[in-house]
Amino acid sequence: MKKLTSIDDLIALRKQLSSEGVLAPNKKRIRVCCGTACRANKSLKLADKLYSEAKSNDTDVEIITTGCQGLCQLGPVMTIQPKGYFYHKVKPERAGDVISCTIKDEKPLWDLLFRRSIGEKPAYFIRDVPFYRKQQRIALRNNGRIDPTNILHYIATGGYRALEKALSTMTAQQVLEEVKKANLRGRGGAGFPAGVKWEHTRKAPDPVKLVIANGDEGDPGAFMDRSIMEGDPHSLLEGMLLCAYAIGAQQGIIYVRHEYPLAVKHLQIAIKQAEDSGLLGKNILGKGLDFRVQIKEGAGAFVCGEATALVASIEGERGFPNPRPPRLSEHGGGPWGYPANLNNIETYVCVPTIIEKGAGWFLKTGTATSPGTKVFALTGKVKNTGLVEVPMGMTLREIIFDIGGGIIGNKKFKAVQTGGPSGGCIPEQHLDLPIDFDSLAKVGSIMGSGGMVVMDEDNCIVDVAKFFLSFCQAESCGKCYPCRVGTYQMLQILEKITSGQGEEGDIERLETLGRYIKSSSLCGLGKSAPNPVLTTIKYFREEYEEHIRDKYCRAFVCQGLGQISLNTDICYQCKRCMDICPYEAIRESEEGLFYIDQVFCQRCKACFSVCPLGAIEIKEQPVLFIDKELCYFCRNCINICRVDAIKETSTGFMIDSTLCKRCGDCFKVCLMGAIKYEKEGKLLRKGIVAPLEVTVEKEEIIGEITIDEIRMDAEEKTCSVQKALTFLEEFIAGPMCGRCYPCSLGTEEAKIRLIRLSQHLDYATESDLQALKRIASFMIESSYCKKGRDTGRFLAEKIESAEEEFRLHISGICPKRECISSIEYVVNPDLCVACGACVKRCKYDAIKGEAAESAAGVLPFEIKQKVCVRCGECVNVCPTGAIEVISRIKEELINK
Amino acid sequence: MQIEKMQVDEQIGEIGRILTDQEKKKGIVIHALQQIQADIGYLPEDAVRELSRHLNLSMSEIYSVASFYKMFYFNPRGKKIVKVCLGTACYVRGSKKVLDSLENAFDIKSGETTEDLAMTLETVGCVGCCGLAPVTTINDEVAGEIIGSRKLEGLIRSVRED
Repeated sequence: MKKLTSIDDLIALRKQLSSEGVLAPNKKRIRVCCGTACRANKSLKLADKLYSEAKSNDTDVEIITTGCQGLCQLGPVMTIQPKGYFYHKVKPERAGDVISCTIKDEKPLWDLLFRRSIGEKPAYFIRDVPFYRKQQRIALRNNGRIDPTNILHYIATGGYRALEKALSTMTAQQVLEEVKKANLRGRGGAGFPAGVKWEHTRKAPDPVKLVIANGDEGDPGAFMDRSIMEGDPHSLLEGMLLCAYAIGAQQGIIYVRHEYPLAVKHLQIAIKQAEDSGLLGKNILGKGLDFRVQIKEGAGAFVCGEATALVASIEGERGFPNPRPPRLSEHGGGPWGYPANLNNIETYVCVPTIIEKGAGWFLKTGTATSPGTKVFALTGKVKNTGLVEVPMGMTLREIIFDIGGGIIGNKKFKAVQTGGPSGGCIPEQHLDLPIDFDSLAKVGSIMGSGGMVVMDEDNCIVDVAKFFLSFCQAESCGKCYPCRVGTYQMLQILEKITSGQGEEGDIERLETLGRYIKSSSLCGLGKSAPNPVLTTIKYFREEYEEHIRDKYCRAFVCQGLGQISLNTDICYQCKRCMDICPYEAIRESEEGLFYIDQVFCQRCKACFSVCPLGAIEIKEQPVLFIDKELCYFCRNCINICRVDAIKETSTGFMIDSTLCKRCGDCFKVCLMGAIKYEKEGKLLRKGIVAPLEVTVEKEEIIGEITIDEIRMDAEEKTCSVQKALTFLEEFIAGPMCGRCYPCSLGTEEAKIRLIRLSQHLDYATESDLQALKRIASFMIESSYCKKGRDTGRFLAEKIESAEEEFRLHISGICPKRECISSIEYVVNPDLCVACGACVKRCKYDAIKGEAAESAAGVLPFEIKQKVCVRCGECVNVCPTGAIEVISRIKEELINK
Repeated sequence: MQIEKMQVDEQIGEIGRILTDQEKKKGIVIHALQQIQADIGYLPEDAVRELSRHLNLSMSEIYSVASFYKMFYFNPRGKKIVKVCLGTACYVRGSKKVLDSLENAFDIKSGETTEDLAMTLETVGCVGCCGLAPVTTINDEVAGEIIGSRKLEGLIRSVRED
């Protein structure tokens, strides 16, 4: 690419690009999201498929692999120009359909359009999707629109226009003033005005200054900066260039987390392209600005997101924070002592729009004290998770319920955690709070980098606080005591509370410790580490108290609380709980009843959620004690106790309640009844009736029988009724899926009627034959699949071809002598040689007679008709064929 | 990467113009360690000693940096990093069985590496895919719902093959 040496070159390039039609809105174009989340859902394969499909179809379509488009949950997503259709969950196999239907015929693919629920109309365009409707994109303006690895795309959409404007018409001071006037506040957390920071750095006397972008985004669940670095790296470079121009810096550093390899790759490509085209380097656009940018990769430390720790890490030291002053913007504060301006990625990305459109335009969005927009990573129990950018001042309710689509499973909202592990939990009463930096601080939370974790009633608030605190504790660098020791102690107390060992005064201890840590820690990480605990105590104190006093967790999350018990009145020993229990705590007693061995039970509640009858209940923990008046020290209880909870003291025996598992063994063995329940565990939660999960592992069905095979089996029979019956029996046992009624009910009904006919049951009438005909025709007409229709056809064929045979069955005659109740086996005395083979073979002792050497003088064998089940074994073994099959009815008729 | 051939100026980049020699050397330590680890898979003592000689920094200084950051390892790591999730959801659905059978199949304990450096077995708190429990990740690729012996054998086979 040609090097741009002046502003005119850049303008000319942009003109040329627009005349070439780069990113022109009327062209056929597919924008496939290739952010990290969509890549995990095979969006790269999808893009490849689209390429090859377009090529083989000879279609003129541009395929752009963009950065994150936001709706990560429904990925891979894509938008298709010129109509602007928005597709979600596009599998690579659908690439052909997209090209042939949407690109060639310009028709939407209905199943790929977004629908809120099945009954609702689909949203054709991105603006109709509720997730996007309320968003306003400033920082994410190019995310999802351009190819991040192509600088021409960025220039064509108006990129570097702010730089062009600043270099040609504004002085450095004016740029600075504009940012100050726009009141752009740092998007990394604290919300310090960027303009003021820039001014500090500009005023520093050093000739060498640095611009640092903080891309060390370590909060669990936050991915705003990653998406920007991956999807729009040039915006970041332009923002840094403007900052460098305003403060007079020569060198830029982007500090990126090691865990973001794709971001590093895209930034490297962007820097290379910018250097090649003269937008980075010496004498940029001929205006005498020198600026270079390089990337520094982190090595996995959360604390390095803190400014001074980040500086230490850049210098190649341990990532310890340092006391301020000197601030980064002052002499001696930044890396190697050079003053540096450090801002978050999102802050820099906002700068080009401010310069291009003016501070006045920027001030129009957002609130008075916090103008502009903010990107949030919406996660947790909301229906639509993903990246959202909204104007400041939008309420939490709008973000969670309008954009996020509400809580999964329409459960009750409990709290929202903002600002990652350093932020706080905001309860329902503040849902209508307009969000900006100051309002969040007022309710005890922070904006943070923009993580937003939504919790519902199934989340235990104490457990959540413990999770965030354990993150901070693990990530504490260990330099200062308040943070290193304090967070550890707080975590121990929380651990105690959640495991059911909480004591009175624990909440107060947590509050005091939290205050100390907040006031005396060295860096921002330590100062904000107790926030999740302190805000949850503030808003959910009663839940903490429940954990401590009642040993009760209302969300049933904390494992140490309550006691799982099995109600033997309900239990019918299906063993589902036994199979699922990972601790083998469910045992069978000598009486054959199931019980839960409390010594092994870890209260994971796996059994609770699997019991189909609701026999597993959660009870309050009972308290056992030894009545010293009655105890006569037989030591039976000490011997039986498996956890050594019964201690011998100078005044007698006692139960150590911290060790006791409440298994009740000692209660049972005490001869004197000295062990008593101080408190019986009262029922806290009844068992829930879990749905029976039928897990069919498809691979295990070995070679499913086909209809043809069944037909072959059926045709082996000679009697038409038997043919039909065999067919139906095998069909019901094998391929019938039971999905549609004509087939599932019809076959069963037909089977019953055929059995009546074949066994000549008393109530077999003409109506059975009519019913069979009707069922057959219904199945042919209205069965869902071919299998069902084939079965119906077979039945119809048989009835049609041998209706007379069916009719004979009604009167009890089977012409083919196959239907067992219509036939009799008799011994033909002329042929019988009295060999006795049939007697030996008959399992039912139905054949009377004695075996003899020769048939002379011996009574012929006889078959007892009442015992004979017509199994046919004797017919097979008879060497002379003396056993004959006769039709019973006919003989009787003849006899009459 | 050959440590003695490492050029400090080249590694530090443009910013080196404003730094002293000592600052430059210190500044590339993390980068150099990352490169060594990318090459060898971990940080052997010999390589650290060589780096210390090359950069004229004391070993303790280099170790003090390396031990701070989570991504540096001082023991050899297997080609495949297998992490078994022992988070609550996974534990309840039987991830302990998965761990046990992996330990038996490769004759190593959790946290160890096989002798042929084929794989390292680790446990992890929660990988956030509780819907797929029990979950195991192989080089960050998630294998979920490992229930039943056939799935387990499949997992072991997929770890064994290259």
